[in-house]
Amino acid sequence: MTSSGLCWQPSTEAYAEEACAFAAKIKTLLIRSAGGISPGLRDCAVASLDSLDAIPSPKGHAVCSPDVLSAYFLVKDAFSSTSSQAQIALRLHSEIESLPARVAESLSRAETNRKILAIPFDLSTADAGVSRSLNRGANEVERLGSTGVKLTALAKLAPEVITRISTALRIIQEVWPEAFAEMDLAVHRLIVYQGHAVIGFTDFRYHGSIFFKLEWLLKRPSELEVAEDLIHEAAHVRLNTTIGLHPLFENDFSEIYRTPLRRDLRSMFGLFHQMYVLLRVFEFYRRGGKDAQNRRDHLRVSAAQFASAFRTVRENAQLTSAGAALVSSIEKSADIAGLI
Amino acid sequence: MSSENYMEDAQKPQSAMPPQETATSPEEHPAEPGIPDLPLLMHVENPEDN
Repeated sequence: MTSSGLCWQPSTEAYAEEACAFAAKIKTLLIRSAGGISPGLRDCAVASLDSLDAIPSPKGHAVCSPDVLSAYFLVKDAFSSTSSQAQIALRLHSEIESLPARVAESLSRAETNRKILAIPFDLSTADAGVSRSLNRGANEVERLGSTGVKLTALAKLAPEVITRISTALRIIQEVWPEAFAEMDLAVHRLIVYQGHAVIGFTDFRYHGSIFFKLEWLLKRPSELEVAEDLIHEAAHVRLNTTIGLHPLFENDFSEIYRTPLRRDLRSMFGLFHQMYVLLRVFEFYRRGGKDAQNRRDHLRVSAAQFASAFRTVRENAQLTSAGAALVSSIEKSADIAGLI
Repeated sequence: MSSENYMEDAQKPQSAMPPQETATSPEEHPAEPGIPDLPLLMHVENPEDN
């Protein structure tokens, strides 16, 4: 996907094209970074990435898995580590060497889960990347003032949780098949955890995964809202793939704005994500749902929230050409829908 | 979650995008930027959620 063709609407073709480009970028950079640590680690990365390409799956899909992004950032972090070169190389060698087997197992579990969930999400929590993401989530929310936050992944989900998620996914499949099909490709892992303060999150360092708090999933009024949550988090994953390839704006992270989805001020990164996600949420509710009154309420709220985020982006974003293309596609659809 | 309170990692680097390279990373290549270290996107519990 060239940056001039960026579009907010779900598309398996557009995603597959971006995923291939993203996978190629990851491969180049991971091999180069590994080579910066040791020639042996570079050889290990080349062999592992070749093996990943050989896993039967859509082109680039295996390389775009959370495990690979996690390994990539571990290698990046090694350059600022105080450990010895030998210790780093040993640890990373094990991490990278095991990638093909771990990714193949994850994809296999995901395919097995397709029978239950209608979509190939790996629900396993055993990967170390899951713990790292949960720790990042806990650390971040503690930095914002919460104390004693511990997020614990659930290795086994109760049947009622599985039913709730699978029902929500089937709602998406029925209401918006394009979004469902894109989610099928873009989201590899769904992690359910217990804890407090953090209801859910998406972590680019474990890109392709979405995290939900158990109690939140269970207390949502209906599966329609769980479907909205899935649309929302999957949209973050999708947009992060795009941003990983194409910078969308040049605003400094120190520039912060009022946004519709949180009380304190946020950077353009958070604001842009909100705009993108809210249009998808609006579109999800516009397309349907069995509970008409409930749907209308959500439609009204998401429309107002989208319009607010869009205005602030329009007034403040220093868009790149890629960002301008994406905002243009958003503006066209929002205009047709009467949102702006 | 449209009515809820999302946020990104507020430990934001003071630059247009998060730093893509460390000082010694061999990734540095003018024609090929690295992969940005994008912030966490997080949904935080509000008191009224309980």
